[in-house]
Amino acid sequence: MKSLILSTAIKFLLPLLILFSFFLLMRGHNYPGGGFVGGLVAASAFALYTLAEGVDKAGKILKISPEFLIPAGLLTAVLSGTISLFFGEPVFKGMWFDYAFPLVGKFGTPFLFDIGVYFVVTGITLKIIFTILDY
Amino acid sequence: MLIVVSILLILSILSPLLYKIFKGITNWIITSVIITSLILFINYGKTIFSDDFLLESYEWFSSANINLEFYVDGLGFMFGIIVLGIGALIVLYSGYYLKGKEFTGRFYLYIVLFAASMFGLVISGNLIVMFVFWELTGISSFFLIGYYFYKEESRINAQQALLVTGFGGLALLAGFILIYLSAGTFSIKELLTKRELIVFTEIYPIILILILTGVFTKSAQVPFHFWLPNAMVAPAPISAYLHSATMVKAGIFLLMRLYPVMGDTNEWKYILSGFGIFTMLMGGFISVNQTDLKKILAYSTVSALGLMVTLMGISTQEAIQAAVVFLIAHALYKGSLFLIAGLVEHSADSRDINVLSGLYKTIPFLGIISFAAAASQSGVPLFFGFLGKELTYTSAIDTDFLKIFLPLMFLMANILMVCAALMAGVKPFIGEYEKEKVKISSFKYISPLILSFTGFAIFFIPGLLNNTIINPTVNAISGVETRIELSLWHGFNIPLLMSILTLAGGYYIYKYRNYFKLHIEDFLIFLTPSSVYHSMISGLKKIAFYQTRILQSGYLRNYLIVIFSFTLILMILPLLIGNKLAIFTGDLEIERYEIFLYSAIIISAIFVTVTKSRLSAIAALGVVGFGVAVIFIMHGAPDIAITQFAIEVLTVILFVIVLFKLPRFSNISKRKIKIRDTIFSVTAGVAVFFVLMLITNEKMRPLISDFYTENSWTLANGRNIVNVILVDFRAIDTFGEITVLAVAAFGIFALLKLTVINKKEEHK
Amino acid sequence: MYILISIVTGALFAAGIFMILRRSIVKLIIGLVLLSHAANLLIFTAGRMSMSQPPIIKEGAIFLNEPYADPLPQALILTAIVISFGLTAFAIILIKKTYLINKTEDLDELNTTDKIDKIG
Repeated sequence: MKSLILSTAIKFLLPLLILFSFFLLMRGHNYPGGGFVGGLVAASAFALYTLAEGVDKAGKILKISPEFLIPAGLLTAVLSGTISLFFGEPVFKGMWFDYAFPLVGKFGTPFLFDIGVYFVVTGITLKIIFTILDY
Repeated sequence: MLIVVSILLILSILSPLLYKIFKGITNWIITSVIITSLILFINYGKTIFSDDFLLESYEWFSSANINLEFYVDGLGFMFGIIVLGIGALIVLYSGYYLKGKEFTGRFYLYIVLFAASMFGLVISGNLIVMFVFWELTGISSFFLIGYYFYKEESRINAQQALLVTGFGGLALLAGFILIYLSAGTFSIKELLTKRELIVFTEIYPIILILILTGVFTKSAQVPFHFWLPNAMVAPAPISAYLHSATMVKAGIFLLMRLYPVMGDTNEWKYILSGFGIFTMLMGGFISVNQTDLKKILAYSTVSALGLMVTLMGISTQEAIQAAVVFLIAHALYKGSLFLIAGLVEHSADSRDINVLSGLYKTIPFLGIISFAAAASQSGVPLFFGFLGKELTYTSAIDTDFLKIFLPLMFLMANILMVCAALMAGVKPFIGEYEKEKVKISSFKYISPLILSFTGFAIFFIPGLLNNTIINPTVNAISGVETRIELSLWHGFNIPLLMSILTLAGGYYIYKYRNYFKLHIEDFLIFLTPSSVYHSMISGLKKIAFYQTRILQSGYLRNYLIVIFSFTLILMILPLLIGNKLAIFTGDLEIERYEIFLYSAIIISAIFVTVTKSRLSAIAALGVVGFGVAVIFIMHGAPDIAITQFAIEVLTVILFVIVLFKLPRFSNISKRKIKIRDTIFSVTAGVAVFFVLMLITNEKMRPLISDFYTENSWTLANGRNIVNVILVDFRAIDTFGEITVLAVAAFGIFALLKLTVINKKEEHK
Repeated sequence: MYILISIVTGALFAAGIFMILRRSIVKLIIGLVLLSHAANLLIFTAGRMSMSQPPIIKEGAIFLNEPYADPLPQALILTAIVISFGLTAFAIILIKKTYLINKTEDLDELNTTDKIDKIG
C-alpha cells in the first residue's frame, strides 16, 4: 500500500519527529515528556516510514536492529541502578553530578534510566511492527 | 564472606560455558576454584579464633530488618570447610564418573549452585537469608535428583523430595517469622542474646514445632524420611554430597545454630530424642533388610541423622561434642562409601549385594579404601568413627536424661550401623570372584581415597582438630566457653565395653542376617508415610480433575462471565448491605462543555458495539482513545495525555496493518445471548458507576503523594513529579514494566515465527 | 464533575465487557482495548481529579503549591497505558495467528486443543 503523499511527507517528518522525541526525552524530568512518550514518538516516526517505504528500507535507515535496542535499553536501565552501589548507596538510588550541563541541565542516573526506557520502548514497538509486516 | 559466595555463584553460572571450552578437564578447573574459595574462607579463620565470630553485613531490605548478613563462628566455620572441602572432591570425582554422559555442563551448574547455596546457608547471619539459601539447596537438589530426567522414576522422586522439603521450608519460614515477632530481630547475632524472649513466650511450642518440621523434612527424620532413599536415583556423587555429607545435615546445622536460642528445654529434649531414637532404629532396621547398595547406605544415613538429632536432644556439652565429632566422621566415611558404590556399580554393573562379591581381586585398591570407610562407620579403633561412637556412649551414660534406656538405644542403632557397614563396604569385595576384570581410571580413586583416609589420619591428631574445629564449634553451639579434651584412650570403662559389644553384635547380625530377616517390612510399609504421600498426591490430582471438568468448559465466554459475576457480586454486596447509597451526597455539578466530550466518548463506545464494519469500529475506538486523552489533558495530566496520543496513533497503525488479514465481523451470537450479555454488561457498568461515585464522595488526603511532591525537587532534582516517580522513586517498578514489555515483544516474535501446519491445509 | 466521568467510565466498562463476551475474535480485541481505557479512567478518577495544574514544580519553587493534580495515579496510568499497548499488540498477533491456523473466527470452535497436530 504505497502512498505518494505518505512517502513524501515522511521524508521530512522523520528527522523532525526523531528530534522531537529526543526533545521529549531530554525535558522529561522537568516538564511533560520522558522516556516512555519519547520512545513512542520515535517508534511512530519509524512506523510511518515503514508503512511508506517497507521494512527493508526502514531497517537500513534505523541502522540498529530493534533486537539490539531492547536488551541495550534494559542494560542501560540496570546499569543506571547499579551505579549507586559503587558509592555505598542502595540499588536505584539516584546519583547526580553536582554542576549543571548546558542544554541538558543537571545530569544523573535517573536520566540514564529514562534513556534506557526510551530505547526499550522504541525497540519493542518497532520489533512488533517489523515482525507483523515481515510476516 | 560475600566474595566467597559470589565466586561460587558466578562459577555456577559459568560452568556450562567452561565445560564447552575445557570438556574433560572441567572438573579440575572447577575443583581448583572451589579449593581457592576454601582457602579464602579458611583465611577468615584467624579472625574467628581471636574474636569467636565474624560478622559481615550489607544493607538489603533494611526497612523490614532483613539485611544480607553473614555470621561465621566455630559452627559455621566447621560446616563451611565440610561443604567446600567435600564439594571440591565430589566435583573432581564427578568429572570421571559422568564421562561420556550428556548434559555434563548442566550437571556442574547445578552442583556448584548447590555448593554455593549450602555454603551460604551455613554462614548466613540472618534468618531470612538463611531461608533463601535453605530453599536454594532444595531447588538445586531437585534438579540433581532429577538429573536423569528422561527416566520417570527420577522425575517422580525429584518432585517428591522437592514437595516434602518445600513443605518443611514453608513451616520453617513461618517459624522464623514467629521468632521475629517474639524477639524483634532476624539477625542471628542478636538472637543469640535473646533466648528468654523466645523460650518463655506462650508461642514457644508452636515455634519449636514449626522449626522442627523444617529440620525433620530436610534431615529425613521419621515420618518425613521416605524422600531420602528415593532420592538415590541421583548419580552417585550427588548421593554422596547432598544426601549424606551436606544437605541432609542442614537440619542438624539448624538445630545446632538455634540451640542457644531455643534448645535445652523439656519440649526440645523429648521431641528431639523421641523422633531421633525412632528414626535411628527404624533406619537401622530397614538398612540391614536392603540388598541395593545405595539403599543400604541411604537408610543407614537416615539412621545416622536420627542419632545426631538424639544427641542434640540430650542437650549436654558432652552430647553436643559427640554430635559434632560424629557429624564430621559421618560426612567423611559416608561420602566415601557412596562414591565407592558408584565405582562398584561401574565396575560390576550391579548394585545388588547378593550378586556382588569378590571384587577385591579385580579392584583391590578400591577395596582397601572401602574397608577403611566401613571401619570408620563401624567405629573400629584407629578410625575417626571410633571417637564419635565412644563420645556418643559416654554422653548417653553421663546424662540423667532417660537413664539406661538411652545407652541401650544407641547400642542397638550402632550395632545395626556396623552391620550396614559390613554389607555395603565389605561384602562386595570379599568372597568368590566371578566377574571379569574391569579397569577403573586411577583418577576416580582420588576422592574416595582422600575422604576415607582423612578419617584415618585425623584420628591421630585429635588435639589439633579439637583446638581448631571441634572446640570452637561446641562452644559456638552451647554458648558456654569450655574445653573438653578429645583423647584417644579413655581406659577400660563402660563405653569401651559397649564399643566391643557393638562390633561383635554387628558382625553377628551380619553373619546371620538372613535369619534376622525380620518380618518388619509389612509393618513398615503400613507405617511409612510414603504411601500417605502417594495417596495425597493422587487425591490432589482427582480433585483437580473434577474441578477442571466442571469449571473448564472450553468456552471463553463462560469463564469470563464467571469471573465478572463474582467481581460484580463482591462490588455490589457491600453497597446493598451497608446501605451506602442512602448517604450519597456527591457533588453533581456538571460543566456544560464537558457534556460534549463525554457524550462523544459514550456514543463512540456504543457505536463500536453495534457497528458491522471493522474499519468504522476501529475508527470509533480511536475516537474513544483520543477522547480519554483529552480528559487527561483537561485534568492536569499532560504526561499521560501525550502518551495516550502516541499509543493511539500506534494502535491505529497496528490495526491498519493487521486489519486486512483479520476476518470480517460476523454476527454469530444468537439474539437471546445478545440480550443476556447486554443486561450483564450494563449491570456491570452501572455498578462501576456507583462504586466510583462512592469513592469520590469520600474526602481523600493523598499522604503518599505528599511525600513525592515535597521531595521531588529537593531529593530527586526533577520538576515533573510524574516522571520523577517513574524513573527515580519507583524505578524498580518501571524496570519491571519495561521488562514485561520486552517479553511481550519477543513473545510476538516467537508467535509469528513458529510455523504450525494446519490439518485442514494438509487435507486439501 | 465526578458524575459525568463516572458515567463515562461505567459506559466504557459496559461496552468493553459486552465486546469481550462476543464469539468473534476481532471483537474480543476491541473489547480489551475498551476495557483498558475504562480501567485507566477508573484509576484516574478514583485518585481524585480537579481542573487544576499539572504536578510540575514551577521554576524557582521547591515544593508544589496546591492545588495540583495527584501525580501518583498519573504515574501508574502512564505505565498501564504502555503495558496495555503491549498486551493489545500481543493479543492481535495471537488472534491473527489463531485465525490463520484454524480458519475460524468463532471462539466457540476453539474449545479444544486437539486441532493443532504438529508444531515445528
